[in-house]
Amino acid sequence: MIEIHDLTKTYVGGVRALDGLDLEVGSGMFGLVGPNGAGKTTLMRILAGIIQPTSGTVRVFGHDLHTVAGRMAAKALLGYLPQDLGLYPNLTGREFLDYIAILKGITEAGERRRQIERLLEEVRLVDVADRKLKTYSGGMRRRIGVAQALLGDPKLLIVDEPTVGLDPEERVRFRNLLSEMAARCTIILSTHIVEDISHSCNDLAVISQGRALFRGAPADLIEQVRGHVWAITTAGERPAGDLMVVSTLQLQHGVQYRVLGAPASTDGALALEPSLEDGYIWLMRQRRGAA
Amino acid sequence: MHVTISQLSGIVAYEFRMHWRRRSLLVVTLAMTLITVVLAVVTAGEMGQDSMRQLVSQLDQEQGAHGIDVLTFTILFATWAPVGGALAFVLPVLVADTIPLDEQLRTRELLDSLPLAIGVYLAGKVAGVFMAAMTGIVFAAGATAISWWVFVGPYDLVSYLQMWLLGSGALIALNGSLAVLLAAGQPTRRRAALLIIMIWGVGVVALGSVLAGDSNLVAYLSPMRAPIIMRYTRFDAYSSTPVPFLSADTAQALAIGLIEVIIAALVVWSWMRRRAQRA
Ligand SMILES: Nc1ncnc2c1ncn2[C@@H]1O[C@H](COP(=O)(O)OP(=O)(O)O)[C@@H](O)[C@H]1O
Ligand SMILES: [Mg+2]
Repeated sequence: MIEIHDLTKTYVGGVRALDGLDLEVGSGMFGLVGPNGAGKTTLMRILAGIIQPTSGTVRVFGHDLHTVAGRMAAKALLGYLPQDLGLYPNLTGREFLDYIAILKGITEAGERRRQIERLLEEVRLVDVADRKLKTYSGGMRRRIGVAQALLGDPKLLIVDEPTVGLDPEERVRFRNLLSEMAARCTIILSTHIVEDISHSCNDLAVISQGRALFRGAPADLIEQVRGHVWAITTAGERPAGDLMVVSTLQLQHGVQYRVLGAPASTDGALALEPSLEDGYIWLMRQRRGAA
Repeated sequence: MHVTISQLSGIVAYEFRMHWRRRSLLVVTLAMTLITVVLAVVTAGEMGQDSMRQLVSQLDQEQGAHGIDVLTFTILFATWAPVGGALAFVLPVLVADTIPLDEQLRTRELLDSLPLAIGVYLAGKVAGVFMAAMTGIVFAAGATAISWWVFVGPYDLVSYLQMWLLGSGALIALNGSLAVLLAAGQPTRRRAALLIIMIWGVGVVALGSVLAGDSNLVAYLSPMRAPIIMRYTRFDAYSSTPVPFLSADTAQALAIGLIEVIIAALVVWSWMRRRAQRA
């Protein structure tokens, strides 16, 4: 259980990345969605004990991150995949994992070896495990990052924009790997790609400008936009009304728009089943309108 | 405790590997070895092995009892002094990037998320440099010892090894550690190297470069560590007093250097702690 209360982070220089955030995260896979600059990485770095909040409290499985001892205890339960993971170019994949496993406190060499072999299989890096990391491709670097995060069977797994740089097939495999993990631990996954969480998270928060705009199940976010999603086909001109175009499709005899909002006329407009992305965009748009 | 020791030895082991794989250490070790071996060949060629031995025994007899035999003295002067100089001045610049590299490679982010105490991290980095550099020295000392023995002639191996290994150990432990610690806050390798070049330059110029060895304590603050580098050469080879294992000025230079390292370690440790608290 992760409890975040009235969390504020103001960076040196004055940027307020988190602004009185309240959040509780239980078990399973939790999605953190928001536009670039929303404060996702800031929140994850605080949860990982890397930076300190300006004010507010954070508890990770009961450990208060405000104290050094609390952070140490929480870190021992943590697997963290940073948004921008650096690797030691002169170590091999296997050596790197061994190094991180040692630092995570897995003292026994045999146990480290077992875990590393298992994870190398899972992220499919066995063949290149003895190659230096500087020879790894972007996708391979990403996968070694995933493997190191899973070392030591973490109780809390924090993955920051993990699917950036993965091809579609790797993305699916990664999602499945996380779903398996979610049975055993709490996962917090951040992304600005809504599709990443629509498949796997049962619980999510949308944050923007350091505040939570929505907290709940994906289905609830989808419900909010039900009745506002339309397909309108025109000869080419933009459909009239207070609308937001989500996508356009060129057809032989015109253009089909997928829009959110209230069309000027519902003649020829087709009500559509909303997606999570519709819900997200609808939410962001209404907030912007309110602001 | 068990975890701490495992983490510490893990950092040392992997830092050791990474230092050697970055090649600069390898290049310097081979260069040092090459210089001293070539010196042996040149010395032997100039003097001729037999005439060298004759000269030594002649000198020894003429001058009577001596603290250290002339050949050993010559060998130490020729081989250790340049190596000592390299350890005092080149090694610090070489290892200055040890901690900044974590910044430059962006591994710091991950390291900061691990249950790793700052003290263990620092100790591991410092000890890793020591082990890596010391290994290079053991290799160079061995190659040099053999080549001088073969090309020039037998000498006092104990004095030789004392100077090479203890002198190196002291210089690496003091100047290597100091460089790692002082450059800890730099964001890139280049900045780290520049900072150490600056500190070393200023240190040597401002604090004096005592070679004479009057107990000038201020001068002992200098990273030159003259009383250590010149441990043998500052004794008269023809005097009847044997060279002490640890003369007063060498001991003072060691103690002052050690205090410098400890202060630097405490400052860097508390700075990193504050940074973690404030970031
Ligand atoms: N180290 C930092 N110093 C100053 N500002 C920062 C720093 N890191 C992030 N920010 C700012 O904080 C805000 C939130 O950033 P971030 O948490 O990275 O958002 P996200 O991960 O959601 O894209 C942005 O405006 C960003 O520019
Ligand atoms: Mg981010």
